[in-house]
Amino acid sequence: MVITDARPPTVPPPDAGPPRRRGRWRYRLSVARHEPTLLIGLVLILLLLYLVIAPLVAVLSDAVRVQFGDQPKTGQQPGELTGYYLWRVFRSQVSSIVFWQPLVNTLVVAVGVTVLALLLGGICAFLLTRTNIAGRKWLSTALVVPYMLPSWTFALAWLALFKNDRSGGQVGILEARGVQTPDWLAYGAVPIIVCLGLHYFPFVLLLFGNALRRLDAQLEDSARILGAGRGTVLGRITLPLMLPSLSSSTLLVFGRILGTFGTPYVLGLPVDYTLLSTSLFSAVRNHEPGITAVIATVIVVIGVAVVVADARLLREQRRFVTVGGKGAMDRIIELGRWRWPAGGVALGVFALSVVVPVVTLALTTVTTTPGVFSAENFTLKYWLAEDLPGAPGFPHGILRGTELLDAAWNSLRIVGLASLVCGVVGLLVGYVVVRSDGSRIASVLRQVSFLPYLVPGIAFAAAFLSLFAVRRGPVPALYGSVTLLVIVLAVTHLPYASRSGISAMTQLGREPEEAAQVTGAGWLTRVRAVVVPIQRGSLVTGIVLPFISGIKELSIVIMLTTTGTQLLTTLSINLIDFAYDQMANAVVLVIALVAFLATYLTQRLTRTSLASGLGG
Amino acid sequence: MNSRTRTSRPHRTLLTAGVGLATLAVVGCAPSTTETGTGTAGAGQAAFAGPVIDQSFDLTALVAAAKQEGSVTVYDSTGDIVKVAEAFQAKYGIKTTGVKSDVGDTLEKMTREAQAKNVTIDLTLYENGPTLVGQLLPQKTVYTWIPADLAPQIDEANRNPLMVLSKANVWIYNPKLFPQGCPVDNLWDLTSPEWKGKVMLQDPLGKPNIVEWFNQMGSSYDADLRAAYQANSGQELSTTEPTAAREWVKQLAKNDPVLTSADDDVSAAVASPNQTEPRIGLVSIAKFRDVKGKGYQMKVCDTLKPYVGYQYPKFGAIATGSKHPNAAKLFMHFVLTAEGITPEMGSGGISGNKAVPPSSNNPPGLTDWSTQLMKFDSAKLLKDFQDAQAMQDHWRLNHR
Repeated sequence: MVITDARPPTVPPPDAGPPRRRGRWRYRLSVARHEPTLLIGLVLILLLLYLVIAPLVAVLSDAVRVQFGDQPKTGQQPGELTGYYLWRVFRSQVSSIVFWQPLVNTLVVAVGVTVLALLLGGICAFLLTRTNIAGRKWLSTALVVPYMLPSWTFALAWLALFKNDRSGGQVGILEARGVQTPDWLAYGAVPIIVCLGLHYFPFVLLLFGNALRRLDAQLEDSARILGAGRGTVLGRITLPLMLPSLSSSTLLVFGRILGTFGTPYVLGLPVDYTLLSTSLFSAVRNHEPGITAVIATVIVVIGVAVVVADARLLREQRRFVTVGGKGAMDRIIELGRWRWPAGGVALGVFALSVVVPVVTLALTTVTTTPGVFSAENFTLKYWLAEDLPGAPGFPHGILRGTELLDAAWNSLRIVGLASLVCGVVGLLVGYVVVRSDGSRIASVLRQVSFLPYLVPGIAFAAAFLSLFAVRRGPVPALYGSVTLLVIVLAVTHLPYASRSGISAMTQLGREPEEAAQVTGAGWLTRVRAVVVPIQRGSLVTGIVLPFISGIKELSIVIMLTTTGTQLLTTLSINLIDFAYDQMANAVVLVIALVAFLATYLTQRLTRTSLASGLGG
Repeated sequence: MNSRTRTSRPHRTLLTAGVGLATLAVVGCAPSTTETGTGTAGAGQAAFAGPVIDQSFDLTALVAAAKQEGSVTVYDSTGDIVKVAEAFQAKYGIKTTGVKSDVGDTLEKMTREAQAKNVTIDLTLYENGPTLVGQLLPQKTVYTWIPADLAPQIDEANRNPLMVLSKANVWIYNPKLFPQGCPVDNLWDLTSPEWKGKVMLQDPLGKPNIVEWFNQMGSSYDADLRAAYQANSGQELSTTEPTAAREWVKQLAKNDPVLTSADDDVSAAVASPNQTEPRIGLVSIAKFRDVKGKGYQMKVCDTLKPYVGYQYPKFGAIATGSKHPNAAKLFMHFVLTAEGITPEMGSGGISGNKAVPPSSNNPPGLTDWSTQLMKFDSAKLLKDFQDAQAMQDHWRLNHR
């Protein structure tokens, strides 16, 4: 086993300072100036308590208080303590419909999606970072694209293909050609798992690939030299070293499923396949804040359980450091005659996850009746027409008028700003968590910064609306302002950045920083000149992931946007409300394009590359 | 980043407070006209104030005051509101924003805005009567205002809350597949094995309006429904359910209906040009615009007994904390006139103002609103609010 011990040999204990009180304080201050990890940690925790815990408490407390309008059902007055909502969700005659069955379905889907995403993402990450697979450079950019498509793209494409007469609207292409698609294939668990799996695997690819790329191949080489076989190296060196990023990816995918709404709703409704998230949504829509709170609590509790499990796992891993300031080098496996078939497999994944959904969607935007492929059915009017009859709210093609540009500009600046904040805070969280080495601050920070991920967006938005729309102390009322959108997007997407930051920092030993410290560099200098350059890749990941995810965000922003702050996603949903599906799909394509271009430009400008798993 | 809002805040806060106090005073002093009896229905439900009728109403003064305020924002559940807003802006030169929004979202946003004392939605045209009288009005998030000059033209029954427009949901069929006319003639047919899996409607759990219809059917149309059953099967309805409506709902839920998340999926499945499956669907009459727009084949199932559908009210209410109270009032006045409501009556509808003639654009098959459609009773709104969850559960438990 080759394990590097990351612990610094000598940190003088603070108590060893001069005996006089003032002197001790001066000493502590000077230590804090050079080693302000704990201080930053405290500030971050306070900030997150305010931005994460307070809204959560606000939402969750609804679970045990009588809500306005429920007096007849509970026989109590609003605000009184009640067990009614708990009873209704867990014990009443509708509890199996509202809660127990959705719980089982959620676990099935979450496990299924996680396995599929890990499988696809893991294999692709390995092929792209460690082998000379054909088309490697191109594929590593291409395979991240599925994540840039709004997740409901896959559901829509799935329906366009497999939809049978079990649900409304037009039947799918297969059914139209006389192929009867069974319900289990068209709706429910199978399509939800496949669609979400295809959507989330790039996530695993990024995080896993990043770590794999930075894994010091010398560790593997040493094992080989000592006579270990390929399997032994993989099982006893590579995999254990990859555990932090593996568990991070698992956690991120699993957590996301708990709150994912769009896909399960679209594909589950026709066969009554309910997940906790869709059950929660229906409670929100039926104005049952009490029920909403109970279900949201359960989701958060499951999420916390997963985080705790992850923390346990990582405790074992803390000692493994894979970048120690020594030259890390790659060992590329020559695939030989398997080079092209492997490329074919990856290309197939790309085709399934990008080409099929995008082409399907694009086709709908140029056809009047979806699925009919005759010459007179094709049209460009939804993109270009000067005047479209029957669409009162949007009487022209989407490329005309200023609506699309305005929305795109709003999306870019709001989401862009939020992701920048995210990236920086995420790296800081990573720094504090890893450097303060198992202290309470580290574990609190790790978990609190991940919490927003497990809270369904709708619940979060509602909480933010009620908490931060009012002036509270020095914080002015923020409703309707761009600031509120930036804050809420930054907070809810912080988990991406903080996970990326933590998993990157776990692999960065103290040595480079200590070397700088020896030469007299202060903390800021060290961060600027040592940490950030080394972690540039993960910093970019910490900005780009929230950006990609934020640009597609709907459930959170729909509650907080006002008429002046229309975003691309709200524009798209408005168009769906106007029954202009074609134009709504066109906007979805624009969203995908913006996400892609932004990522591409970021890479060019920062000279990082998805090709190396954003590893730099 | 947002200097505009920030610099104007103190001024605006003051203004809001003033306006808020003023409106509260007005609402407080208003004569209570709770003739519908919804004021203090039992079970601890908070009372809500009756409508405000401004006796010293002066349209010219209102227009002047509204122009001073400069802008107004209205939320509605139909996209036609954009056209209404444009017409209003063209007429009065006041910047007007019409936003299409689900009633649920409108309810949530208006409630939150009121709590935050930062109101951006000045008024709403609102379709969910039960939550209006169950939540928005008693919480004083909104209030009802009726212009005195039009008050005589508005029926007493439609004043509290104020009904702006009556709209309709109807059962439709595809005349290309059924050239002889609608294949069903009785509402109970939809629960028969022959129509298993072929009846389409929006998911009642996502559409408060449908649940309210079930409840209104139970409270006001029990005899009609029983008579229809007898006409259909030749025997009296025997059921353990308290109302015929609950029995019908149960049977429909068990008959494997196809549920959608939007009206458009229903109309497409019934009536799109390449459709070959025989189906019956429940849609808003607004969908008949697709007959021209998308070549849909659809007709109202006019042989259906006892009714071919139901008409439901859309109410108007002004936000209590509105920063543009006069512009909001002027807008309310506008939609109560023929000029203002016409854009919303494109596919039919009846204005809350008796003087406005009904739309001439009723869909084919819907000729007489008063006999062909069930009608919601505003006096039962609060009961509907209290019964909504029980009816949803009834549906849930039978549809599985």
